[in-house]
Amino acid sequence: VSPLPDLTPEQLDAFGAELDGLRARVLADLGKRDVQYLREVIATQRRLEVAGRGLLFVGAVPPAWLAGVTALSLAKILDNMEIGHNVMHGQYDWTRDPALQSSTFEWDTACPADQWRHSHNVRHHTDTNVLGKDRDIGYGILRMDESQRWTPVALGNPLFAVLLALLFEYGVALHDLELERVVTGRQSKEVAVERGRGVLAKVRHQVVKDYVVWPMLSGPGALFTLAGNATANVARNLWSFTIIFCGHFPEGVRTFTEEEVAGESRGGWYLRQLLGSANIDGGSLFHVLSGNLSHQIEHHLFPDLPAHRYPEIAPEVRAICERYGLPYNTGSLRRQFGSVVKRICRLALPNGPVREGEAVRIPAPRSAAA
Amino acid sequence: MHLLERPLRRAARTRLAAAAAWPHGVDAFGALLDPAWSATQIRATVTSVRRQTADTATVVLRPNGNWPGHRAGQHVVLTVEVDGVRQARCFSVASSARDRHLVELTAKAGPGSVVARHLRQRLVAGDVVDLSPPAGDFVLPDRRPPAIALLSAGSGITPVLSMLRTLADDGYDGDVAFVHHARSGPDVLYGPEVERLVADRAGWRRLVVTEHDRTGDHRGRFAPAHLEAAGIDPAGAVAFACGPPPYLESVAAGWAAAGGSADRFRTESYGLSPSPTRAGGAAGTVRFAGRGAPIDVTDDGRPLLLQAEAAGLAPAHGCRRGICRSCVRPLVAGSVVEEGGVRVAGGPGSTVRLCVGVADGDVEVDL
Repeated sequence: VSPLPDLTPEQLDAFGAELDGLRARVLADLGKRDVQYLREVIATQRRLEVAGRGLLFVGAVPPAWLAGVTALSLAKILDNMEIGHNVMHGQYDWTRDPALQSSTFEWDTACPADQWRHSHNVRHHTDTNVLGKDRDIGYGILRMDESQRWTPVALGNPLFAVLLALLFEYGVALHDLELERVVTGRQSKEVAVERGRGVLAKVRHQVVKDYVVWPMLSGPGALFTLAGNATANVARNLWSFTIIFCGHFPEGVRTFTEEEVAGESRGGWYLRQLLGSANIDGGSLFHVLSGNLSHQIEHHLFPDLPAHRYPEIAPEVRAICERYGLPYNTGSLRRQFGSVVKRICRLALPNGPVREGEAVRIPAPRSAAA
Repeated sequence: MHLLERPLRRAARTRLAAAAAWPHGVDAFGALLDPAWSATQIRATVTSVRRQTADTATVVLRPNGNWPGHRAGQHVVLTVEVDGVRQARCFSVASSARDRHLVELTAKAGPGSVVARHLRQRLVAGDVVDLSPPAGDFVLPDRRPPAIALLSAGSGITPVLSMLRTLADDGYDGDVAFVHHARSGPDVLYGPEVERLVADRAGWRRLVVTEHDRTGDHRGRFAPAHLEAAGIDPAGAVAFACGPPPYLESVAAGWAAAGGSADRFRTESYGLSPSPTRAGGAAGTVRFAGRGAPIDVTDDGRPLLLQAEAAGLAPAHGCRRGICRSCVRPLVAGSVVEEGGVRVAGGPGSTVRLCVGVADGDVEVDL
């Protein structure tokens, strides 16, 4: 395992204080602009959903079907990423709008909101990239880190990754059941069964909506609607898989052992979030469709700041990192995703002899101006 | 749209509609066409805002079809968005209970009143606000007594004005005395309208008392003599009084002194509840409210989650370091400082993260 960047505890505290200050400044500035932005996104999502479902009524006409699927896919992507993920992080709790409260929001995906809040907000965001604790490392299915033991099962890594991508919403839904831990006896069966019931109830809603009610309402075009809805669900799955895997698994992103993070300070937590995340470069539409998770670094540093603020504060975060000689991992979607695919394939095989220099996965700090 | 409103609302409440609009609900889509529309919620469109006096706003609202109508004297909770944050406050309805498609509110914009200031300065016709169903038992009885005294001070005029307007619409032929106390002549709310209402009807009269000028019928604060001057017989009339607590205390005393019985004297008080923040450096009290009896502990300066647990409570929580928001709870009253010095003020809709929230003075958290 590569060494942590060489910061003294004092430097680490100063680094944390700078980021705390940045967070406080954004918090103090929250207001109408942020709510207006999110309401616009929500209105767009609703319009896309209405347009998509409307077009699928005449889905027998190929261009209408294609346009309908596109609109519905975008609606589901906006719902899950820029709206659902971010609202459930509590980014808009301060608005006191009952429709935007993290504790009650529900989204259009198979995973029940309360379970996702546990597996994501509690486990993943607290124990980010800590081996054995952050179950987002491979979702209990994939081998995503050299330190995860190789077994022949790992040979299936690329195949499993494709399946996980296609069925991502179900992967996320089953995530909090911790089935692999039930097998090893570290998770109680009762808890898993209870959570499983929650997932089933949620899946039933989605199935009834996308595969019964809307096809039924389409009358003779039922099959076109059914196929369109299924395609939109899969398109959303592929997109969210891509964005999320690019956030933590490109080369250069670091994992941590429990010993390394024991007793870590606020600055240490910030440092781990920084080293454990990667950004994706892109235009503003790309950022919105990614739920601004293209700014995974800013998101992990400040998970409860409204995500549309991440692009605004990114230059400042980058400048702070540069001052402390810390890496800031960013690259194009093609580069980051290519790197994720390479890792999935490479880790299908045993580690093999580690060559000198290869184990050190922290890249040299890139110039923030680059 | 009006013809279709009712059937649309009925269709929107069906299980089929709920299944089709899951998980966001029918309202999420209805709002695309009409922001005031809802299958179940009461929303209202602002039709006018006028400034009767130097520090008040009188707002006329057109509620959607979910408004059940109010009884004269009841209040509603109005929710508006101020700087992106939803703020809810309670106001008495001033309009007649017979106007079932209209809700009029008058708010006094004091220095700290975020909502009333918003109503006065920024609300415009066409804005959409949220309303609660009407509530409160400060209402005209269905069996009208033969003599009614309507007493108010300042913006406390609204519920008794609703009563006066309702009595007028109903053609009530009993005896009505309307006594209003204001700071000065220019502060008198609804003056011309009340004057007109009482002028038309036999046995109806009005008395205005102003504290700082001579524009009223009398000058000063409430005095028992005002009851007599208005021709009120406390031994026979039923009184409805609304105003700040000190006003109500003196009216109640005057009523009793003049032989009025307490069961014919109804009051509605308004005004801020005492601030829970304690001045000085003394340790405050942290109150954990919930389903059972509230638990009070002396603040020891630690995060609220730790203090709740020390008190034997077990609030839900997650990361315990301010990240996951599993321990977000309503902050009923008081002021809490979260990490990084971010201050949260208590009140309706206000929430706090227990694991990083430290009390500043007395606070009350709803667990």
